[in-house]
Amino acid sequence: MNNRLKVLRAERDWSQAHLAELLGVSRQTVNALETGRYDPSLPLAFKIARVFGQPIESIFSDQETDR
Amino acid sequence: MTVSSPKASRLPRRLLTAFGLGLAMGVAGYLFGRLILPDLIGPDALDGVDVRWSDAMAALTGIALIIGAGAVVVISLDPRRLGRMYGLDEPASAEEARQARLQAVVMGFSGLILVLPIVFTLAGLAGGVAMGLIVLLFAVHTALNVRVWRGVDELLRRTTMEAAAVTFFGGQGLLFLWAAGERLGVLAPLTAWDVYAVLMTLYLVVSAVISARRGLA
Repeated sequence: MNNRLKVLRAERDWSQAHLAELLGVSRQTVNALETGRYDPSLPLAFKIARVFGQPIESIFSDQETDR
Repeated sequence: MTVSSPKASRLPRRLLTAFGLGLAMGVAGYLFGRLILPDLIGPDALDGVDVRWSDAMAALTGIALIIGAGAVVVISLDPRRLGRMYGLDEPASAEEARQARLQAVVMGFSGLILVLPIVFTLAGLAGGVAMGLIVLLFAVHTALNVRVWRGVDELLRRTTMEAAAVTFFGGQGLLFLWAAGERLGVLAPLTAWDVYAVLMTLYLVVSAVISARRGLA
């Protein structure tokens, strides 16, 4: 699974801590998501989509793309 | 730009270094016990001591857990170092350090209750009192485990469940093969302690690998 979390966070100038607080998870989880080490549960994916105001499919993709 | 998952398949150099170091120390310990210790304490000093292979395995696993817990506690005292260990963009917060210490305490406790039955037996304390103490410590350990579980988010919970699932499938496979061999009379019977020592060792290795792949170690 690929994701644009790091880019979306950088665009908003948010720290990992701020995003973690908005999502109700630890910074370790934000880091694991951003580095592609962890794919979120469906509830967390929906929460991420809500926080960034974008549909899930524009944040997460199952197609291989460049990093 | 997107981030993809293949990084998860790589083991961090830190974990491989730890395994390598553990292997080297294990070989050094074996050579010390085999070649040097008999000269120090006399060749017959351990003749009456009943130590099985599973005792050695449980002791090694227990001590590894205790050392690992100690290392995490030391790292947690330095917010920058803890932040680096977790791959964070800033030093760890006081709450993150507190959580790390709590998890380390539970890990160390796991090692302690794994080693204590061997220590009690070797010290001649086997019996009801020793068993009562172990039951008490086990109850405390379970309560701490529940507290950690309730305090963490889905990443750590999923990591724990994945480690448990892999350990179960690996463990049940090993147990089946041994049980079949035992039933067919080609392998020696196992004790509950043997099975538990293997299970905990397997869990330690599996959870270390899965945690590292998730960026938690």
